Amino acid sequence: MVKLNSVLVIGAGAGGIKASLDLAEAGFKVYLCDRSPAIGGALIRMDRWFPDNHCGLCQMLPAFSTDDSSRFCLRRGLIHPDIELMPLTEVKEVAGQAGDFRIGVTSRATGVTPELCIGCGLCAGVCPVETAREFNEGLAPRKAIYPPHPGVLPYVYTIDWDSCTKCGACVAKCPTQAIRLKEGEVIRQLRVGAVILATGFEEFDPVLATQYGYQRYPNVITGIELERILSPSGLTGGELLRLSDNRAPGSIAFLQCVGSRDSRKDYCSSTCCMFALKEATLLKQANPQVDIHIFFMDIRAFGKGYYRYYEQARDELGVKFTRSRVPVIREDPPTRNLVLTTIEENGALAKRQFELVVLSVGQTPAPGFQELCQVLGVEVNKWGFCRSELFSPVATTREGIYVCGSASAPKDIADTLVEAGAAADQASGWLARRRVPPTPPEEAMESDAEEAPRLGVLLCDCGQEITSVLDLEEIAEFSRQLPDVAWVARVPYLCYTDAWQRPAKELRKHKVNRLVIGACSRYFNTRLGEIGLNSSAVQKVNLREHIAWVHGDNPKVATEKAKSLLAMAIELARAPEPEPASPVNVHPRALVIGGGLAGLTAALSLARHGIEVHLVEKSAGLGGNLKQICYTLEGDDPQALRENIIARVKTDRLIQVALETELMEVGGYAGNFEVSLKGKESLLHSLEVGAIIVASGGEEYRPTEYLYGQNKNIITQKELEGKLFSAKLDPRNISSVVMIQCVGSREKERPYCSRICCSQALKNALRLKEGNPDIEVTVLYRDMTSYGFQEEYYTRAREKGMTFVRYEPESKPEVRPEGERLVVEVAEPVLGGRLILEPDLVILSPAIIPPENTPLAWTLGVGLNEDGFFQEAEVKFRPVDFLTEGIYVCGLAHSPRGMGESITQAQAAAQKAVSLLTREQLVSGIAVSETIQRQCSQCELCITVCSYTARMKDVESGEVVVRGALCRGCGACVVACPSGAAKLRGFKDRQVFSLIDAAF
Amino acid sequence: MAEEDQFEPVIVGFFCNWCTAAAADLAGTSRMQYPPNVRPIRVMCSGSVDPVYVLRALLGGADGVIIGGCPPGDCHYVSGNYRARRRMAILKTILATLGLEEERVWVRWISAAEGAKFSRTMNELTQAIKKLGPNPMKRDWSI
Repeated sequence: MVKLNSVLVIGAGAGGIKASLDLAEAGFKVYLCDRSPAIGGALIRMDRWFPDNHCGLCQMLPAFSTDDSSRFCLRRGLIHPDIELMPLTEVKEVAGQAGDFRIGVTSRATGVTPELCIGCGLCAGVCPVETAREFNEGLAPRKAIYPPHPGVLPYVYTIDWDSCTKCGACVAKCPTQAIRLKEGEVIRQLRVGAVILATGFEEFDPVLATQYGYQRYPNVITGIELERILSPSGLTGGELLRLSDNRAPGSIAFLQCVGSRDSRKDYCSSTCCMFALKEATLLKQANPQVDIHIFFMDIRAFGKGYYRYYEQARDELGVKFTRSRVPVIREDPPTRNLVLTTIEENGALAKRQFELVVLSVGQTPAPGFQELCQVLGVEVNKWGFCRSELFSPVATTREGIYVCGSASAPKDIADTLVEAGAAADQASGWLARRRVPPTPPEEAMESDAEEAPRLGVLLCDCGQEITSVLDLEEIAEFSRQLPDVAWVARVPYLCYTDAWQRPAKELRKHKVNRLVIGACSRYFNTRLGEIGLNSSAVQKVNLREHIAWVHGDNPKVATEKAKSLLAMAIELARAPEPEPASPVNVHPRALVIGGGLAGLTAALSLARHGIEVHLVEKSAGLGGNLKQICYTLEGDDPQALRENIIARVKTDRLIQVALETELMEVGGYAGNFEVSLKGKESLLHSLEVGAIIVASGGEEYRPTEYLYGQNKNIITQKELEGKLFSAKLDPRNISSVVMIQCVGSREKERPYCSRICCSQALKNALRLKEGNPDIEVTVLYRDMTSYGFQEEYYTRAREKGMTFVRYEPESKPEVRPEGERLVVEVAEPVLGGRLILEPDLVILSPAIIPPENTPLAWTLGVGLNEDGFFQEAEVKFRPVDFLTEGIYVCGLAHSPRGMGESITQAQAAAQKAVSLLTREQLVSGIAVSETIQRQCSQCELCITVCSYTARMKDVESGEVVVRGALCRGCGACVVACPSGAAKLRGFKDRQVFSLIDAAF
Repeated sequence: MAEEDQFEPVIVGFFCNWCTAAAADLAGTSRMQYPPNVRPIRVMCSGSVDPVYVLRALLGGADGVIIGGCPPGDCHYVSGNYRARRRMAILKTILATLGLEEERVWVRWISAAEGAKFSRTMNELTQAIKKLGPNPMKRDWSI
């Protein structure tokens, strides 16, 4: 069978973009389709994310790409030579099988020819139709012809056929004849080896929750609408204002679980707690006087760093939390304030007034998702999401088709991006993998860099978009006078397909070897081949977006600014072109640290892609914590998984397992690590590997509270599980148990949620009930964190008569022996009294804690977080990477997580490693730093400031050297260097000075 | 007042590639108007702006300098913006020795989504520099 090299990704939101970037960087051709006109999905409508209130979107960009398209913020568009974007496109039919799918897609015409549209917006000016704008959640109007997103590249308009009246006004106005008022579809056949389903979610429509008056009351809005109100690119320019009267609200209520966790939607949307917390945090930080209440059932802050974020909002920012469902909202007509009737925890009704109410709406499958799944031939689950299994979380029911993100269950961005990496890993197993050759050096001019610079200046009129403000003739004349300028020309539209033909001839005629383009923000580099120049010989000035469009009222000074900017660009272009740095080789071999579920999964994924793996395990056996997991909430068999996965690892000829072996030393860098390993009996031996995966795991906290260890009837969940499974404990002999949650978690010394203990408790409680329906099970909890589809089991547990009693951390349950019996006493919040229980067994749900990771982190040169887990490069956008390239993390070493989540993360880490290891060589970018040795005093300041370990002291020569492939060209070392020895290629001080001098 | 209106300051802006330069583009596509006095220089990171560059601009006669970077915690290169902040704080302490007002050097964090903040900042900066008047260095050199 001929394997194909291409893959289809459906849905261009967070997951789709990440999967596409991962696959494209690994050398595959990606078709990325979306039914909307622009990329970004829910991602692009948000500015900042929990739990760090940052953007960080740029962290998702490829690390090793030397193409300067990778230097664009993803808010501005996705430009990658191997990703073909297909907007307004839907999948219509799928034939073939894994490895060779034939897929029929139809793309709707946008009505605007992208090659002709210059984004001038004259069309929108004359369009008579006004309709709600999606980007701002329909809060602001837009025209029927509009740019889908204000910042996106290329800045091209599109027609919304649903509201377009085809009056033709825009056609007559368009200066470039780019508009065709003809609806139509283009049908295309794609041949791909695999498919990734990343269609995301749709927000629950709160109109369906009629009791809240959404759309009847203007001051009841959704979370994402609030996001658009608060966004600087949104409705009010970032100011918090009510829509009814443009007044800043003094009090805001958030209502959680709207369209989640009720009888119709019996699942938790997993993200809304954190989303509301983020909104509340940002609101409080900007407007400390605003009174914010969050009405919730349970706060589910289970991700890494999330619980701290909750505590910060509550304790430091003063966000108020009330545990209550709100049955109804009424408006107070004169003030348009909202009166909430709440059911307090003690059962009493209360009325409270707020000036703004935000509904935290849940996630539901996207409309048309069922039909799409039918076309793809994959099954959906009972909630209408794509069906996937616990132990193969990104696999669908059809081979070769994978799923990531909210398409399979409600998820936040962090989990979505991990799944996207895993889906990319699994999908690429069906594709023809080739070693990725280094990016071929661009076709250079015949001349070498030493040749005297002869500059060309190419100015674009952009119809009248630039010339209506700037005197281009004056600017052209000015440019001619500048040093080394050999040729200046103007073109009406530089973006046109045939616009470069004439300049190309002229350039050759005038022997031009450097070019300055004065045009717009469009990405022209893909067209430089037409004129025979490479990107480092070209400088760009954005005459349109940086001058003409923003200084329309001051043409005279604007023209002066344009001259300055051209003079500056000409100065940059005159500088000699730097020689590219030499590439480095890659050892196609990986080291996996840890033989638990994550490590084993990662090793298998690596081996599947033909990578030689060395797996080291500290203990005497494989399997890690998996050994003690006997059954799951969902009914899977973890022991069968364990046996299967260990057998596969042991028989795989590419995987070498070394038990009782530890990592002693690490030298080198991405692609070229040299590691020293030490076995129990063996001598230190070293190994050259290209990548390292840290899967060193976590362990269960051994409780010191609740008399654990002092009474045989006080045991942990894991111990209970083992006893039940091995039939050492017969549920029929027990009449009552008490489970205590959050033992050691969410405490002062461990302020994080261990994520899995609630589902573990539900699992064991249901098992007990199965064995003996008469057992009284009481769960003492703080917030039941049965997120996603686990909610169903929480519901089932309550239906089976289990009692859930909440306790506050200030008044923890008290466990004491009274004679032969155990007594548990706890304050009961509903009735207000004290509950006294006499259970046969007390089951503790202890925290997941990291082992002593410091020595390993020290050896690897990577960081740990406050809790002792390994610290990834960026919590959302680089979840399995370290800042040090070539080292990746997965499983409990990263943070507490379930088995499925560990598997996903291991696959995502493997994908990253494979993507690095299948490169023939690592090639550095042009703008990397270097050391002028004779100026270097070896103070090593530059080594300290480098975030990427790109600078190091060479032990043999004693010189400070740069590992070009790791350098991102930020220039930190250049400024840090006291002796001027650290330089950025292409950005020498002299150049910067002449650039600054040219500014005036 | 009339004289103040006549004075068109020249301000040099060092804008980081990931946030503030992208915000400038966003302000452009959204056509948010601001005065044309700032000459933007795109740098990869605000942390790569050597104080010497700022001095070069001021000694050369620029009336003001602005460094635009990623908001705290959001630096594409992890911590370059913090270094920029520290350096500029120190630089400001020596400007007075040169007879320059420290208000001539601005450091602002403007993210890629904040086109409006970019244009607002350019407005405020230009107004502030106009109020300060021309760079005294320029006046002294010309005597």
